Amino acid sequence: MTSDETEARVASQLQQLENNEAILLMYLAGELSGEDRAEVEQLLASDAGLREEAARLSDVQGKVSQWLAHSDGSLPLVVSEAVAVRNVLRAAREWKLRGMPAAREPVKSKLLFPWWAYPSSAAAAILLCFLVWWGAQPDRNGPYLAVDTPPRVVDDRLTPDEMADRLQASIDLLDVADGEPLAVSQSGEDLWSSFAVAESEVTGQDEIR
Amino acid sequence: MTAEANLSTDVTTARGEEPGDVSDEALVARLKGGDIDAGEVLARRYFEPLMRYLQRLAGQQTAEELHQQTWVSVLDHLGKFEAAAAAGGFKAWLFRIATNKANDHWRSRSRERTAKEGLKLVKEEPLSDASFRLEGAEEEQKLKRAMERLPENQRQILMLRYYSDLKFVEIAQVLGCPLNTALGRVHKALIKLRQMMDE
Repeated sequence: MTSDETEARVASQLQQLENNEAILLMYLAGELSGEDRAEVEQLLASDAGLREEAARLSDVQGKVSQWLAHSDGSLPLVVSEAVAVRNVLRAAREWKLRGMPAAREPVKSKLLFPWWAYPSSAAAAILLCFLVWWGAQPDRNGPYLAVDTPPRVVDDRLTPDEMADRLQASIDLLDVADGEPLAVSQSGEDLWSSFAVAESEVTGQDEIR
Repeated sequence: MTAEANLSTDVTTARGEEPGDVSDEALVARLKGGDIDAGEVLARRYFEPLMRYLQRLAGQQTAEELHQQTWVSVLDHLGKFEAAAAAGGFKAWLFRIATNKANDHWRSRSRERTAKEGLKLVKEEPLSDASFRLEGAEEEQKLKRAMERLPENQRQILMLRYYSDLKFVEIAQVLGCPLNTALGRVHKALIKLRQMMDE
């Protein structure tokens, strides 16, 4: 705030007072700013009527204060300080036992929703995140044998010839069981269909793929 | 050393402060935190002015009850009190609550008195109370009677000014009226007192 603004604000303090009586009361109470006080003193110096009014007000105020002080001296308090303070302390302890609800009130008032809404919302958010993450995962537990997935018994690390040997051994075993050998091509890739037939016979399934 | 001083010292020595040095706002902050001793310091600090103010407004018989009601109300609303926002600080807030309690009492007493007047059972304030009787000069007796004849709002503002020692600006806020209104009431009260004293 600039000095001009300050002066304007201080000046307006005096201007806000409606009449001379209000100004005098504020002056006598010492509640005017220095600048306003100086202005009032100038007025008092130049206006005898105002000076007289100020003296009357000051006199009445002084008499009232004097009377009250004298009266207080002869008028005992209705209750001793010890008793009154003890009663206040009792009320304070009860207030504390109640959990000082008034002291906690502002905290309560800051909550826009009931207290249980916050943990519920947090739990719902966590659940939602989990569902989104889970839905975005590749299908690990889908059909065991996908269209482009080799049969379970086939080891990708085996060469076609090794697979052929293994399949031939398996077929030999089946042949032993059935009593007649099967003709198997020498190529590993050509053995897929034979393998599928053989395994379906073992497992009883018509279609393994 | 009085009990108050002892308790005040208990509250303050840990911080190396004299009891009188601890501001109302600091004590209120401690009381908000559950420090009952801070509340005791406040209660002792304002016991006499508050009790005398209530005695003047409501009479001796109900001043103690109103004093207790005032402090209970202070505790109940302590969470809403903000020292920075309240003009005049805790003292103004305390006297505002006391004034409200006295006004409530005055209104209920007025209703009661109105009802009793119909039955010719009106009872005056205990002027015959020996402790309340003035034995001073005639001028003081006249002033006392004049004070009792003042309208309630004018008497209230005079008592508030004298016992709370608040500034007029703060008193206006305590009473919830403009500054000019408060000053007008004070001025009228003083003029009436002077006229009645001159009779």
